[in-house]
Amino acid sequence: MGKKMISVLIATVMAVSVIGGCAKKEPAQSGTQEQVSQPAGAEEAEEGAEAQAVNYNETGTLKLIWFASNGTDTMFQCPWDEDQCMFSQMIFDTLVKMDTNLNYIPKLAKYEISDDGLTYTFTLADNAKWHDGEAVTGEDVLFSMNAYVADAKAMYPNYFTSVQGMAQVKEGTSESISGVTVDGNTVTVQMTQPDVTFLLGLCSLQLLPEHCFEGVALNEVASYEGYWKKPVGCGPYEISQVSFPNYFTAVRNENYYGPKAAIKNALFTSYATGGNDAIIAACAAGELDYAFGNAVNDKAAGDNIVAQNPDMEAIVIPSSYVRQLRFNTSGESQDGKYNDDILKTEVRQAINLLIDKETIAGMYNGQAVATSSIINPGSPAYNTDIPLFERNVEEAKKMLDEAGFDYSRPIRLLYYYDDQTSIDIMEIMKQNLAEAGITCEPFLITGDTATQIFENKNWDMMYCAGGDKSDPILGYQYIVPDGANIDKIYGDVEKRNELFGERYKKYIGASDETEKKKLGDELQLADVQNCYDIDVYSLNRVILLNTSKVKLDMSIFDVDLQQQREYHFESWELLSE
Amino acid sequence: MAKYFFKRLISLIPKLLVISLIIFVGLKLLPGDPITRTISPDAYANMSPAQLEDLRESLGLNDPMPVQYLRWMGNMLQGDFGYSQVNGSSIAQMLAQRLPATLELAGLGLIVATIFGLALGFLAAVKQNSLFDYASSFVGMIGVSVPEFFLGMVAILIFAIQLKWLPPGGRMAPGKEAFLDRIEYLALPVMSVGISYTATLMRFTRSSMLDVLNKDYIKTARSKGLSEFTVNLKHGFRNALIPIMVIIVFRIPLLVSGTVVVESIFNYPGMGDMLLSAISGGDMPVVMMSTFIISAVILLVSFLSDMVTALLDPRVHFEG
Repeated sequence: MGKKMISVLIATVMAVSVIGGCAKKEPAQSGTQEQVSQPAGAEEAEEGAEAQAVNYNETGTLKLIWFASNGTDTMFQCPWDEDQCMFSQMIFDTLVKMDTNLNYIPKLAKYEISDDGLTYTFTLADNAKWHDGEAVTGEDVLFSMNAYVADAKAMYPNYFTSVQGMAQVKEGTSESISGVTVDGNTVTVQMTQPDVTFLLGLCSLQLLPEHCFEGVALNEVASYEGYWKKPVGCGPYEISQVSFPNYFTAVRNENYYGPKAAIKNALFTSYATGGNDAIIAACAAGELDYAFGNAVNDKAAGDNIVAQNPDMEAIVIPSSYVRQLRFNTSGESQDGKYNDDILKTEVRQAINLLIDKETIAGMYNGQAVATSSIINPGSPAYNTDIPLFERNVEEAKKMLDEAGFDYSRPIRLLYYYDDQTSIDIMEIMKQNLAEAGITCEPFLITGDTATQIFENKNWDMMYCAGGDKSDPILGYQYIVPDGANIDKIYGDVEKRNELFGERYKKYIGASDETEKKKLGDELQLADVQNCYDIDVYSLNRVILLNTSKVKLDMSIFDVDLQQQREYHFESWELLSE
Repeated sequence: MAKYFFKRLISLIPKLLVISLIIFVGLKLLPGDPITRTISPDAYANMSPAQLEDLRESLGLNDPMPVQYLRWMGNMLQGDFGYSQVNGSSIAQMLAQRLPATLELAGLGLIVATIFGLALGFLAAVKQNSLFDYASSFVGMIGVSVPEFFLGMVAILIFAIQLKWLPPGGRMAPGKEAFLDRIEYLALPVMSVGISYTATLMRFTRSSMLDVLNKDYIKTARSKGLSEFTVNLKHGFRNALIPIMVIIVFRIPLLVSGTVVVESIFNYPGMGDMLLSAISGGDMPVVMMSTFIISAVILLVSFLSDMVTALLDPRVHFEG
């Protein structure tokens, strides 16, 4: 009898629970049925009174993505290692930031640069405190720089190369950068040469509190579980609740040294499990107020979401991110099937003329633009002497014949993006080259892609990404010979050093804008003339924002900056719960 | 009987050892470098060969394979499940968060499917050839035929995006950590996991019930003047349940593996997703451990199903 009763009870509870779970949620705002029956004026008056009565900035929640490619299982990912957008911006702070005109603006510190560009002096804000109440000190800045340099996974390892003593810390022979000295709230940085990338690097150097890392080796700071379980920053928000691997909540930092954030609460939900599809579904269902990243960085996907959820707006941001064809100019492949015609500059130039970049860019519904170099033609940094792309099959054929191209040997085209658009683009390229009699063999690689690309090198051309820097000329850093793995596929160290290395070094040391423009133009020209790679299209970035719920200064989306941009959280506003 | 149970339980140990060896050797024989599998081409391009060698050495990947296997097993037996090669997270902690989620999803799927499957199958049999019988057969056919991932996507489209009754995914939200608060997150995944199971059970229950209802002892019971309710439930359903119980237990391992796809669709952080992410990210320590744990769970469930079968089937003797 007892068993029967328990069975019936369980059955009833489950049935009620499931049905209850399916019950329609009450809308957050007051019910609409009664309002519909009221006169329009009365309704407006009531809404106005309600808006005055309810400060949504205090009662509502800004819903964001908890993004981390390392996952959200047991700890947060260090913002140095990956652009995590709002997590980095809200919880942490940097010494300087960039405004939408790409000018540096003081954030946690005011700064001065000596006339020779070799000394930077930073004065920290007096009342800056960590979320645990400790004061932010100059020692914290030095500690953060030391640990950043020692972090093998840091996104921008080359930004501090001109700081005196940085190399020793990177090599592990010193614990502290000798060129950085601290005196109270003043931090002085001595450079070996003027370097325009230094301040850019500081925009991405989220400061960490030294007192939370006692006894932790510098190269383990970025993965120290004791801290990254619930990181303490000094940004405008602090973490209040964490539920790995589901979500975390952030609340306004009431002791913030600068203008306080307007919106009190933020919820970061992890979509590490469901990935892009889950983010798209969440946007369509109204579960997210701001979305960025690969899931929504597609105009068609963005438009589709907006069609399902008109509260969302797809915003296109001009970007310096490019997709390109990179050549294997190392002169070898593991399987011995390397097509050495690729070593001829004329052949590479001919391939550049054969690719139908306009058609390929057109596949992105207006999001992409055909390009001739890694600089977006809309950017002021673009070298206008370089003609805009124009396809010329006849000229390409002529160049191939003159170069003595062997038409009987195929060109192997490697790619590692497995989305349908990329697969279609590979087919277009195959057809493009076939028009000149070239047999192109596209093939997708999966699994251990790094070994296949850099060690085995069983390919002649590779479809990959480039650019993506706030200063687009810095995108040429990848082609400068510096002993990294990329040298394995380019070879030709001496020539690349002459063409790119010297000019790049001069560019990062230049302070005069005219000289910088000249050097930037020369780098672009060398790139286009020598064709170590072919830039196919520049892909603008798409983000989604719930504009019916969140109001902010939209000019922050004028340029494609994530880490470096000042978001001005003090001016954000919630229009509903 | 205890001796029989104990012997069967002990027999799991060599099976688990063989499974662990197959998993370890299989994954070690995968082509490619275990380090570079975890690094994107863009990141790899900026690293130096010396940095890669340091990483390889620090993870013990230069040791011979038997040494690596014995170290892995030794650590596992001491409760040290190792760390993710991609993000350095403790695998034990990852399992502690993910395994309960999967068991919760699979368990609820089992309970809901069992309740609905048995109830609908019972009613279809009792009301044979009625409109309800035809309708339930039709629905059952759809439930068996349509894949879980498709049902999941349709459910999200209807209940989350169009009607906005339920969240499109996730497992919990702030203030909704308790089980009853999480029902709204569980409803769609449980439905997706359980629907084909419900359909299967319904069909089995119906045919088993019809078989039993035609037996002589049912006619005898009716001739004794017992009510239809008593005849159907006490004499019919009770006897029909014996073969159905075996089906229920046998299908549990399938239910656990079925959660893999559903977890991904509903952004439900469970073991299945952890395994898929680790495979795609080349995170071999996590792949090895999660594969081993899933295998162990399925082995344990198979053991339980053997036990239930033995208990229910009078033809099984425990001398064993």
